[in-house]
Amino acid sequence: MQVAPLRVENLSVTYQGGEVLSCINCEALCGDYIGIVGPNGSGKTTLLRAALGLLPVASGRVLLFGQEPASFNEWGRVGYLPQRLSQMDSRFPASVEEIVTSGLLAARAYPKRVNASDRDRVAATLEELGIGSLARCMIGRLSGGQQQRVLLARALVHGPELLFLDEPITALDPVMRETFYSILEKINKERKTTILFVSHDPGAMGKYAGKLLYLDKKVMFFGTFDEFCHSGDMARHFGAGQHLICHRHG
Amino acid sequence: MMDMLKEALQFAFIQRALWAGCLVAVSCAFLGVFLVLRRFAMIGDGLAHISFAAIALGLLIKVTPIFVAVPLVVLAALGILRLSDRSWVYGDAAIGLLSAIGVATGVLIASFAGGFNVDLFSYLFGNILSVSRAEVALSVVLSFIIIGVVNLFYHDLFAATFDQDHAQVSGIRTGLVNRILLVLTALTVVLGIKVVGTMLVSSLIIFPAVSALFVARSFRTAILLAAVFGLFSVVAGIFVSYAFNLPSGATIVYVNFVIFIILFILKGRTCQ
Repeated sequence: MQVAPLRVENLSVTYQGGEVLSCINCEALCGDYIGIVGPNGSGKTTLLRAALGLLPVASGRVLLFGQEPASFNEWGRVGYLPQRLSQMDSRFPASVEEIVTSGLLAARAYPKRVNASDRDRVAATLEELGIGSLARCMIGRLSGGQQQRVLLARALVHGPELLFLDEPITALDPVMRETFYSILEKINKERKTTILFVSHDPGAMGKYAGKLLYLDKKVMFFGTFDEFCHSGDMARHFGAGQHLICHRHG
Repeated sequence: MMDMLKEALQFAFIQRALWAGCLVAVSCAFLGVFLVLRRFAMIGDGLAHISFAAIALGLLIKVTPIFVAVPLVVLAALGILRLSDRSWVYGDAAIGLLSAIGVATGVLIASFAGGFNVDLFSYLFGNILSVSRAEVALSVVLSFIIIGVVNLFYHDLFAATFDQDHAQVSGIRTGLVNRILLVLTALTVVLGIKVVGTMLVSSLIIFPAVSALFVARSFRTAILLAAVFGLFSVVAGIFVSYAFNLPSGATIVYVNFVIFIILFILKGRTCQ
């Protein structure tokens, strides 16, 4: 039996004495596309960061491909697009090519050298995301949307099996958002990449993702959008808003 | 002018100064770009203050000060990292605390030994023209280690400098990379003491990097430009100090300052 790319068991995370995530259980199977939604402060980003081992857990555990993050050593199977684009140093002297290449080389053995096929791969990823012409540009000179695509390219360039995306569309215009969603749909369907997508836009998630994880410090709902649509519990919780989220009724 | 340069180059002490100075300049420039971008620029200054105590100790026990300074400054660098990593103390406060202790210890040792002497003064403000053969040999070895390690870990250092969290979840051992960066910085600071002195060594780390960041359009260019600016400042500084009988350390810092001002003005004009 194939090991689930991500398994979260009874996970609780505390911050400054308060519980920000409580007893979270969920699992991402191979090829899943899970939209993680919830109100501000509901712990969406915290869940992603804890799953990646970037935050300590108070109790419970996270398994990445069957291993806890601290002992996990197959990071080449994981891609991550962080949220904090606004904190990027606009004076940082890195070209787009250098940043995307860093995503390709990170999990390599020493000495890490860039060869011709690496350069081709970086160029192909940039082309796929429509930013091939920006390869030599400095990251700080790009628009927010272009920077976001560069960081997505960095997360995708090594061909991850599990992709974590933390509010990746905030800086994109509506046209680019659609392009972004269709790129993800393509890699999810064609490469069977498992995607966990933290979003402020439950409606868009209903349109593109296969499963929904609704968080509010605890798991309010986890399942397919059809299950969400027919859930009596969710009808009571959301009222008419339930079907704006599930996006199953045109 | 050319005759004077030729004359200067015939002296063994100038040749030694150029060798040691150039190697230290390249090491400082390589590390400086990473340190400045990680807001660690002042760590060079802090470690230099700590090396003051180590040098005083070396003079007291009559061991070549640089040999005492290398292990002590490396330990201090790891101590600063540990203090700030564990969030016991803010990073800059940790540097300030250890700097003060370093200078205080140096002064106490000097006082115990019977007061400051000429040797200690040359370590405070540098005297590259007095570099010995053993010090040149040590500079060569340590510089090659520093440049080699930076080269080996270049991609990891870059990834961790640009985005530490992402580097960590890409499989880079960021804790190890940070320790490597600080140990290399400690070694570089100790090497730089003879060139510009403990009071000015951080300038060799910060100036070339900041000047390079004004004009670089990629990370690799930033590192190469920083190395070029560092090299130029040391070579020009040594010749100018020889020609006008000026203190070499302070002259090197001033050459760096002139490069910085020129690039700052040029950058201002291109932005308008």
